[in-house]
Amino acid sequence: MKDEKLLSKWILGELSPEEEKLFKKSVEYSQYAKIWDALPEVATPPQLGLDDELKRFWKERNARPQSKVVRLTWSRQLVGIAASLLLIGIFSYLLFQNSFTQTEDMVVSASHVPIYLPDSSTVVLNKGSKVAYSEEGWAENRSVSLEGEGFFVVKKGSTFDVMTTNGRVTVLGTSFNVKQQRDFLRVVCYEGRVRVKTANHNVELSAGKGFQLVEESTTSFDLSPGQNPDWMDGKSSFLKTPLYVVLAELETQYDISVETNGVNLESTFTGSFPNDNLKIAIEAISTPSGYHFQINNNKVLITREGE
Amino acid sequence: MTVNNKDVCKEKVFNEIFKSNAQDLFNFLHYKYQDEDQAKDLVQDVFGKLWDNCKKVTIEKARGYLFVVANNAMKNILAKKSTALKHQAYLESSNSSVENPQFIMEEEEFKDRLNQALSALPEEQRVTLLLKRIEGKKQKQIAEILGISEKAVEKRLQKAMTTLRQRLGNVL
Repeated sequence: MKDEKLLSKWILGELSPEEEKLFKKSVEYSQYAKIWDALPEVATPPQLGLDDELKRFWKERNARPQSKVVRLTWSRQLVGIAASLLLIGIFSYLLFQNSFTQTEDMVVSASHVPIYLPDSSTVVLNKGSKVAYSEEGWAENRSVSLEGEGFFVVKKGSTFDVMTTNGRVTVLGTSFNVKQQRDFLRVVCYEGRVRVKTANHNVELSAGKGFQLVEESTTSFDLSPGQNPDWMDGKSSFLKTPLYVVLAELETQYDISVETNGVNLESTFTGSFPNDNLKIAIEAISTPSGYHFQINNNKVLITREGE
Repeated sequence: MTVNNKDVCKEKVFNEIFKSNAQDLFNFLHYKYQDEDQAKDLVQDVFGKLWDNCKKVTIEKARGYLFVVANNAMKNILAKKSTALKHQAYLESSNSSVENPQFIMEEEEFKDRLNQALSALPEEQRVTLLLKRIEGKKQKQIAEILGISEKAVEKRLQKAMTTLRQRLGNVL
């Protein structure tokens, strides 16, 4: 115990002369000193090319201008009138069609970095997705609208709703993933519990359970253990998912457009594709069904065999 | 000073913040992930987050904000893999030298081994140690950056050094 105290005081440069004498007599001293002396050479990071990095920053920013936060200027006035805000909240909930409501003053679409919600819960968005919420009206309207896919980690004890065009997910627990695309909705609960409410269904999911809605048919599934959704690990995974949803995800991940000829878009796909290798991704989708594909710049054509 | 000169949403102001903080931030992320490309990408992401939230963050708070975001940043699967590989390489190499106690390390090899042992340290211990040793940060400053107590900083520093010494025992 005494030695440890001496060690940490030595690291912090707080040894008295007597203590220093004592410490230098110890067997370990020369070993600690050797490590300490070698650390700068081993671990000093390289110099960053500041100008290059700054150039790269603006280049990538300008390539996706939509990632800038849009604050709607009239929102403050709305928030001021609590009653009307509440009314609009209820109204838009009833309408349910347009998930991005007027009460939301924050729209964020930055992908793959944690976005902090007003209650310090976080959401990480997949590429091409966005969330909107009301920062100033959070106390009255604890809801987040989602287009696309997001992984939510909810602060303990906090509650809010995630609104999508296909249904509402109520937080009862701590971490879950929501994917929405046209008439497709998939919710997977990783920790705690969540409730999913759609026009015709009301399901409560516990940890390790998933729920999927395609038009009006639903599937429930168990997921294999793992802490994060696959997309956070650079993969897009699907279970009995219509091909049009899978191809739309491919378009989003690679910024390409996909055309098909003779392909049954309603047929389902189970499997996954990487988000950083287009050729392997298309092969993963087309090979199991025996489809052929061609890649031309940013266009992909998928055809049925023999056509 | 006019308000405009302090508006983080002004490109000029933002560029200044970038230039005066990017290297420190990069170093921090480099300590954290031990990977140059990864750290560079994360620097981009973290500044992207600042730009996205430029209306909410004052110029005085910008630096603190950047470090909080960096501290919470996530690495992708590739980084996890490469770290896992390093760990494995470390374990294999340490086994081989256990089998050959007479093995004498050259200077370069010692540094290699130190590097591996450093990568194998728990992330928070490595970051704490290198903020102290490379950046020369004070205990209090480290506590602020990492959002932990000064006592915890001391504990991590001491643990990191003890672990390094134990792992390198046969080559010291």
